[in-house]
Amino acid sequence: MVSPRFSWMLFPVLLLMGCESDQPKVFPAPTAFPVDMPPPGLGFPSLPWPSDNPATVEGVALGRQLFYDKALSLDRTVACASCHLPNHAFTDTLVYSRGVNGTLGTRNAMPVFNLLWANRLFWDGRSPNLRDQVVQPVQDPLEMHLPLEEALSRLRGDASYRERFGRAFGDETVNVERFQKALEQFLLSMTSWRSKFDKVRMGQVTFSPAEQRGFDLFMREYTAPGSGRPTGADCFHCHGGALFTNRLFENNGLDSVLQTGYQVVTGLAGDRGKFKVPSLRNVGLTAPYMHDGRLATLEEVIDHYDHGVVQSSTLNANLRVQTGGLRLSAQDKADLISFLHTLTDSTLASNPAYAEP
Amino acid sequence: MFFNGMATFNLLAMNSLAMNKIQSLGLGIFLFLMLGCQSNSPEPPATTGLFLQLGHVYEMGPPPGAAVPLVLNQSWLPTTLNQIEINHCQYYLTGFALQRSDSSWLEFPDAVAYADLERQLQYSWKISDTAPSGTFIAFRLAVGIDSLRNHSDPALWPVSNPLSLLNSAHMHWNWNTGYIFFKLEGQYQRTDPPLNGGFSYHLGGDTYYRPVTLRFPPTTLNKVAETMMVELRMRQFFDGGHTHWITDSSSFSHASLGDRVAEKLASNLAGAFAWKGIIINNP
Repeated sequence: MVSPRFSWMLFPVLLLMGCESDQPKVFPAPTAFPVDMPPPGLGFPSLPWPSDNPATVEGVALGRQLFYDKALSLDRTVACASCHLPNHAFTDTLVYSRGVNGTLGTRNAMPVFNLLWANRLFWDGRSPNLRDQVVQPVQDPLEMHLPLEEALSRLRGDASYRERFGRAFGDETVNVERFQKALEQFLLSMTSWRSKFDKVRMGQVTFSPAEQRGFDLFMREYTAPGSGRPTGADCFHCHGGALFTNRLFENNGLDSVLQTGYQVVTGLAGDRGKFKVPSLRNVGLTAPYMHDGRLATLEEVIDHYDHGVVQSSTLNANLRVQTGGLRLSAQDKADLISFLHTLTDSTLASNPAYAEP
Repeated sequence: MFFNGMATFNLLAMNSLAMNKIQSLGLGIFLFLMLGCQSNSPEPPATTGLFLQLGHVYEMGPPPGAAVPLVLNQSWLPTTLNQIEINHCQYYLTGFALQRSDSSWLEFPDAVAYADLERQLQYSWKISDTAPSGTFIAFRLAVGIDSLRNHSDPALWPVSNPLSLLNSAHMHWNWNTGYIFFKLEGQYQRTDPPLNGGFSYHLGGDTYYRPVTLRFPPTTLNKVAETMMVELRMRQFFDGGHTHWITDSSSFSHASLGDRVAEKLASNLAGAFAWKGIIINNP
């Protein structure tokens, strides 16, 4: 108990204490993060990292913490990582992902690696960039279902998060922009370029005969019956290049009654039924397939392109001309699948930098 | 100098509210500039350089029918043997040059023009920062990418270059023949005998690099800003020197060696570019 006679002496002390707590905590400048970029020669397009969000050790670490944090969902049961599992190339094994309270989504989870080279996000492309994308699942009633301000409030109420934001961005302010940038840093840092296919390109290993035949089929164009030339599976038109995607939106002949798809972005009838062409890197790990997960296995996918393509007004032009199907033999299909498995990068799942912190 | 017309496209894509704001802003800037000009500011210099302006038309026919602006996804455009709808068209132009009156060529070897008709149908590319001066008698362009750049590593182009795979991943055949020079895709129909389906023509590979020379009356250029005006008459692709009948077996080509469809269509394409004139901005 302090005597009232001396109580006035407490004022300066209290003021000093108050001043101390009001002083913004000073953090050292963050450390540059060495992004695991593919070496020249693998064919990955040249692309600069976002200049307004340089990768830092602290920023990537914060993004990683957020990615795995279930506190960003309404009932604290779902994190980004709940639908993007490392063992499945950051997809899940479900036809439709499940959100809070077991709510069923409407799309198959997309893989989240090599996003540095992605243009638009989501199957229908409705998000123009990663910063816009990362806040959507948090708020989506079918996913994490948490108002963004509530998510930020939870983070602000957590001293360890304030500390992490401070280390990453210089002070403890927690806001939407920093939330987006931290997740962007972590997600962009997740690269995948150590598959057998990449090792073949670098001359370190060779394909097996089946893989080589599969590669040749993958890269060879379709030819009409009677042309005298061997037909190919003609995969490369949409899945060519080091990224194994043409980065476009295409109708691949799943339905005669078309879903909205990319039309939601452009408003054009010609874009109805078109969905994002996914990269085939790690495709052996990302079953089930297609935007709605309707095809369970790679065998089913190849059967679809071989004889299951449905004609419609916006069907991809290269599929449209394959009027009699690809006419692949059982051996062709098996070889194609052998090649597709060479696109698996097993280091992606085991990379501790991408794992739950 | 690389220019792919994206800026124009983005402006066109703006909504009306944004346009109203811009119009208001533009009026403000205009008044400010006018006031500035009234005091002592010199008039801003005109943009200098050599430009190529390219429009796309379709001759409705039967020949000699008038040419109308090309519209994608419009059913049905006539050809001699089919009716068609064009859904996609992308192409590269390089090899730009002006021929002097002494027959020598002034080359612009670095310029690359990329057109994606789904983005826009009228293009204006800057071919050179410096407008040439002298008397000239012809303009040359080439459909496609010269051999050196066609076989360079496409991954090394910066994203600002139209040859970057991030701008046009769908225009490159990795591990095959380099870039697709010209791509035209759509649908066709014919009533007698009844036929319908899709077509997909991809011309690429060094064999199908096609220089096109467009002659014009001797014209003196004067080193400020000059615009070469060219038109691509798309019907000529099907009905040029070789009339093309689209059937199941001729509805696609990926320009394989010895591919007769590709040879015929590449020849037609070279003849589809028409000279429209020069705009000269005097100093």
